[in-house]
Amino acid sequence: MKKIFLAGNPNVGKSVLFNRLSGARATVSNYPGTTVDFTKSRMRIAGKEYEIVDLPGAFSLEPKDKAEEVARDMLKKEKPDAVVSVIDATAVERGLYLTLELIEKGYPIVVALNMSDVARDRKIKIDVRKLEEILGVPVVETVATTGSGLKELVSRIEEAKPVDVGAIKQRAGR
Amino acid sequence: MPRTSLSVDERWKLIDSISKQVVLRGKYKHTLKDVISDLSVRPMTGIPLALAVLFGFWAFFGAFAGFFTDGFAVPAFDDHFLPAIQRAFPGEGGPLYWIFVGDPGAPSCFEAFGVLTSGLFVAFGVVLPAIVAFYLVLTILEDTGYLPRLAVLVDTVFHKIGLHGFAIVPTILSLGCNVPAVAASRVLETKKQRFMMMSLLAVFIPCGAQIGVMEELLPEYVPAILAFLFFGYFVTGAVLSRLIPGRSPEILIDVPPYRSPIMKNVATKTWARVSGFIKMAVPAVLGGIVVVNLLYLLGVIDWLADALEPIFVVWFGVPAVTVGALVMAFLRKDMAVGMLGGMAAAGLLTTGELITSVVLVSIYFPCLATFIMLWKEGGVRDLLKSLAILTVSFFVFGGLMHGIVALAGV
Amino acid sequence: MKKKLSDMKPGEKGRIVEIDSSIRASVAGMGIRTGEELKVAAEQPIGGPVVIVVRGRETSLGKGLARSIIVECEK
Repeated sequence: MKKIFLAGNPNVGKSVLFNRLSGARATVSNYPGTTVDFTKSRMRIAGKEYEIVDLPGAFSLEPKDKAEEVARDMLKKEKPDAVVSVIDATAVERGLYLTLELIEKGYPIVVALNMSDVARDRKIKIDVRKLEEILGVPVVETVATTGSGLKELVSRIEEAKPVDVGAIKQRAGR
Repeated sequence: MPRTSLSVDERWKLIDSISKQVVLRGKYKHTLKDVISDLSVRPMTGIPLALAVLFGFWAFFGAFAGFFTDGFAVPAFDDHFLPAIQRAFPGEGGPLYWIFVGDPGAPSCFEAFGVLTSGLFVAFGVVLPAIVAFYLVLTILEDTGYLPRLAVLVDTVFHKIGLHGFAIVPTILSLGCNVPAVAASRVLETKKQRFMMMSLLAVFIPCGAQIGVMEELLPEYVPAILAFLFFGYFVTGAVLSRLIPGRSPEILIDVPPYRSPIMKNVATKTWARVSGFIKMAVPAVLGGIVVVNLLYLLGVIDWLADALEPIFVVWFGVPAVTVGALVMAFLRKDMAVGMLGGMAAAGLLTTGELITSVVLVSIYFPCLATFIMLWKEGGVRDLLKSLAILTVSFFVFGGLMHGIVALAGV
Repeated sequence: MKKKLSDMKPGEKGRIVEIDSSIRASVAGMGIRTGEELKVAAEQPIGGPVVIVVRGRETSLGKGLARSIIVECEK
């Protein structure tokens, strides 16, 4: 069975997204201190069964505590077929830091730009096309709490692929 | 695929150039949430706010649990269910009767001590309302994002005992149930901190189920008992921090923006936690009563009580009957406190003895579920070390409580 | 004027000019790095932690960590 991992900073709505995708009941919190373990579930995409794993929130793949260590070790051990990197649209830069680390390690990535509604309220505009073009992986705007954008996210998980950071640097004009 | 690795600075330079091209920040107007956010981490305003939040938590817990337990469960169980089952269950006085119904003449469910009487009453009448109240408030605090702010405010105190402010999160979780709290110790950075945290939680923090029963039995003394246990927590923490080698890194946490909790999420999460708790607790409460009653019938508990009597009477100032409750405490602490309450109601314990024995039950061996969790998280060596800490604390703080009760003349 | 983050008062703003290499990697993921602007939102008494705002997000860090960060302050 193919495996999909959800990775991201703490407090980005990752657990809510997980519960939406898996259709499971919320068992874990999106606030720090309580999501310290990974949670597994199943989901169906276009008739195919996938395993979906919610990793503990982490700011970096260089672990600072045991919860971040769990995230890193799971990634190493299980070789996911796709990693959905969940980024808080109001703190894109921090999210990109972890995303780049994941890309450097060679994982196939899809980016979910979550809480895009809050970002809009805060007058933060993100050029999703441009971001997708530079990163070279799918970028989808989502609002996990309402479920908006989830269909598109699911439909593009298959497009997840490893990319080279050198190529990203070139596309970013550096 | 060629794989390039970036240094920290290279990574940030790349992020900067990406962000310049894709992110446009308009003028951000500060909202009420931002103002509250600032006020809740400044000591002058934050500390009074934190005290108000914790007091509100406590007041709601007491009021909610009291409303259901005293208002519905006590009359339903004691006035109707108990006399009915005492009459209807066959074979009065036989072993099965003792195990399932308990004392045929008991006037209340606390005193009867049968699976169907005390067991159902404590599990559903007392513990369930307490746990629902606890998790409801905890979930709201969690979903608003208040907990990291509380961590910032209490950091100074926790830093003194080799932990840091984030230790408040496992500690508060532990006041609901020690089992997830032991797992939550993972948010601490070093092995030393995680070991200290798990040990302190297992030894000193009573779970919500147990506090619920305490609230029912001796409401006016619960704050004092909790204060004493927290005193033990910090004193032992200070000692451990000096004895255990290892690093104690400082707090480094994200303080997320405040969010309004979504009621539907709060409801599902509270329900998930409560139902998880029921699945774990109810079989343990009911099974525990069966085991303890069997041990009574076989004479094991009386034998233990005789053997331990000198220590209990001299050192802790409690009669040897409390040994039965301590055996129960290995399986479920809420039911153990319930047993003590039954003994007090039957005139076997004075109020002072009840207070000391409740403290003993709290510090004493963690319940079976916590024990297994400690084993899983820390391995056999750490488990044994925790148990050594526990044994010393049990005698030191149990003896101290005896002294305090004697001096206060309760 | 350059000072340590630990010496800044609530309300003060500045730009990070140096982060000690011992903590650089552990704060990098949280968006704390050289060149970034920050504001001190709160400071706890008796050697307690500070709360800083970086790009609209708050982070709390202990005094010792704050001593390892040098900031060019605005006047």
